[in-house]
Amino acid sequence: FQQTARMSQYNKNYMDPVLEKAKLVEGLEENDLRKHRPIKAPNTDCSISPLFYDAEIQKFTNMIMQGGNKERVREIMRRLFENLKHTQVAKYNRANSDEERQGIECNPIAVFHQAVDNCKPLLLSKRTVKGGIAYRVPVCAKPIEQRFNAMKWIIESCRDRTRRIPMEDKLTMEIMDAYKYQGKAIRKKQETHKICESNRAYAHLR
Amino acid sequence: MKTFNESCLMVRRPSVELISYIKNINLNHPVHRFVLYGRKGAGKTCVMNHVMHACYRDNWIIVHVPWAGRLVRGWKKEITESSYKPGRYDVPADGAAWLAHFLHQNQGKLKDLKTTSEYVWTKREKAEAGTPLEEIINFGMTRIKFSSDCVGVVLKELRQQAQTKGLKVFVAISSVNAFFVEWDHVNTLRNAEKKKIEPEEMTIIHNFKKMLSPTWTHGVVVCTVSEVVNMETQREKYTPLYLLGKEGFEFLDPFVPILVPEYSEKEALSNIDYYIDRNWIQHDYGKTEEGKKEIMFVSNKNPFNIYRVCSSL
Repeated sequence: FQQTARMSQYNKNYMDPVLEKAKLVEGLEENDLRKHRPIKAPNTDCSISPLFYDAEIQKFTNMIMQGGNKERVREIMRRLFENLKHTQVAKYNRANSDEERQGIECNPIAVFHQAVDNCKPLLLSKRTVKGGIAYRVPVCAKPIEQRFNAMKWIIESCRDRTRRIPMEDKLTMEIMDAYKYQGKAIRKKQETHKICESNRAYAHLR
Repeated sequence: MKTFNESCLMVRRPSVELISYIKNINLNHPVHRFVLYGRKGAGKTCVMNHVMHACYRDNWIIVHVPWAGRLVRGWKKEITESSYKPGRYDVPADGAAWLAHFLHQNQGKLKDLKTTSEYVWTKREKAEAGTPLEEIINFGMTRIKFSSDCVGVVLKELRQQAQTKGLKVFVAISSVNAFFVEWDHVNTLRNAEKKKIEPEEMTIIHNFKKMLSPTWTHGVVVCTVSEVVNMETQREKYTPLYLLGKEGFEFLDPFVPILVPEYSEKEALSNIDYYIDRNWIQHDYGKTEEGKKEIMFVSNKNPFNIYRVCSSL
């Protein structure tokens, strides 16, 4: 995602720094621009750690967070990934054949990404007023909007459930369902698609 | 257990040390006491469980209190006054739970043990001299009102008969400082007049404390001291003297303190390699050398922290 409006004070000349140790040791070629241009200072927040940082997951945690309570959300996310791993690795260890094992995706981050991808809508309905009447016009969803809506629907469907179950359990159930194209969030996406389909006539009002 | 289809223990230096001490003990001496101490999450309870398992293999009878904090606190627990002595309180549910646990752990070994003296429960129910201990345990589990007294009877018999019958008794208590320290939170146990109950006034704890004192032979006592059980203001250090308080230290003195340190680099690496082997660490970067170093740095090689860090990878 290229962000066009940035608050950074750097001149456009400045290039991004190299963070991997292996590449630093290798050195640069003669023609490489970075030899002849100024270089920005590296970031020191958690985004430099390849182990713990993932842009989509960061966005998701920020969306769940309420009242600035990042600690609590990080605990929820940690337990969520642990639950996903428990279910998948248990299935993996009990699988009988190699084919089954290849089919089971154990990486919780991959499961998460796949679930969010399954929930992304292609079209969204936008409310336009023309001549006094409000029409719901189907519109192509931009990638950022798709991602936002997918995550929003997952979180909303979890919050609707009973309060007796902790959030991480509800999220696990929701994500495992979305991974298999089932569950509330997927239904919400399908309903949105149906509404857009039924309002196709107004597409020219975009 | 369910995920990996197996359970594993790491053999570490404190447990090997303890096992070698126990093997060389002269059982005719009064009971030796060992206290395991260390930072939160360093593995004290695991070391204790390892030693307990080794003694179980060696045919010792095991008296195990999983976490003493449970006996001192609880939400909505029933508290009854003890029928045996006035001024003491009982938690019948805890007593019954412990008796079931004890029975389960020592299944084949309690056959020959019989009580030496008579115990009168009520006017109509009494246990005569010579009843097998299993009957008393079953009695305690069915008649929950007397469960804490049953616990007392069982422990007393074990202490008296350990020498005469050549038994070996291994007492393992996790978080022993719960017995000696106040706990003043929302979930403290309170009696009918809403007054807080001290640990000394509880029957079960009183009975377990008798096991800790060096009045009997042919046994070993291994305890852990943990910071979690103390009040939040009293958790600065992890040394036994600080955590047990004055009363507790005098009660347990003299004891052999054993430090359980956090993982060394080799131990931490082998733990992470085990996780990789069992498909627990799924992240690609986590499996490389640099990733392992990052995990060890972030968790400071504390076993509990390594578990927490790796659970999200």
